Amino acid sequence: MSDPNEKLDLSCLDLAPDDLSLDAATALVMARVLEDQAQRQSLWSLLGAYSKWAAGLATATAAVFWFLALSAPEPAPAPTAPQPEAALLSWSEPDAEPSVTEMLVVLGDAP
Amino acid sequence: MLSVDEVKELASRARAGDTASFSKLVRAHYRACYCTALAVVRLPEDARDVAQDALVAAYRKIGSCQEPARFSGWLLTIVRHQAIEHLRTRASARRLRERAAVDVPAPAAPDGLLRDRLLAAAEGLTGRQAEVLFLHDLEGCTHPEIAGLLGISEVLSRQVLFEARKKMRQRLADGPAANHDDDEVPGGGP
Repeated sequence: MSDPNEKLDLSCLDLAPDDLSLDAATALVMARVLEDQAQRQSLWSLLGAYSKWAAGLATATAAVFWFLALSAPEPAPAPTAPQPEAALLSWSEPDAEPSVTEMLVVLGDAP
Repeated sequence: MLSVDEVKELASRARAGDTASFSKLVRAHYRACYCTALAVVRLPEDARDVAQDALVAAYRKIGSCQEPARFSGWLLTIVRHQAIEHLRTRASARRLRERAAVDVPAPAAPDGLLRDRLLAAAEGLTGRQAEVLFLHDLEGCTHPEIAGLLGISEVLSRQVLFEARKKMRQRLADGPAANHDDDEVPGGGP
């Protein structure tokens, strides 16, 4: 029985057995790393360029809406409903002399 | 192999975007990555692809390597994850092939017979045993280096290697029939 402390020969499983093949493998990995880095950088620069345009467009749109909101005419105040109670109370004053027309308006019977 | 200080220095530079430093790390760790991948996927060509993919992924993620001194262990963790992912993909590809009933012949390899015998014998090893065995007997790592890479003690590394070699020798001595005890033999004979 062979000694379990003895090293097994696994060299046939080695795909980078010498310095040359190790250098080649390293170069291959680094080429992929650099390609991946370049792709990511170009993606970021593309996103960066588009984001400038997008930010400009958003600012312009916001400015237009703001301008339109400021320049729109003030909404007309809602017509106030006549308050007959107050008018009737004011007529209870001793010196109050409402005209006929005024009374008709307050009582809702104006022509 | 590089010292811990050298690894720390190179990993710190690589984190800062220095590709030349990362290239040195790749060269120093390539074989260890291959051994770790081989311990999981058990096919040399697949292990090479996994190691390369993992190294590329490591550069992409190097910002997440918080402790440059522990770069080696961090890298091998990425390799293991990549190898497991590869196994999943391989399993689904095999299922697809089986469904389509297409036979894809395995590529011929130099030293095919011996290589196949070794790989078949290694099937009986656990992942940890295979990793320690490949790192020691294939990559040439020492026990302190293996302990550092795998985060285990040197004593455990020696013990695991001893068990792995014993199993390998046993299975190699028993011959090919013993290596396929657990395998399904299509149309198996009497």
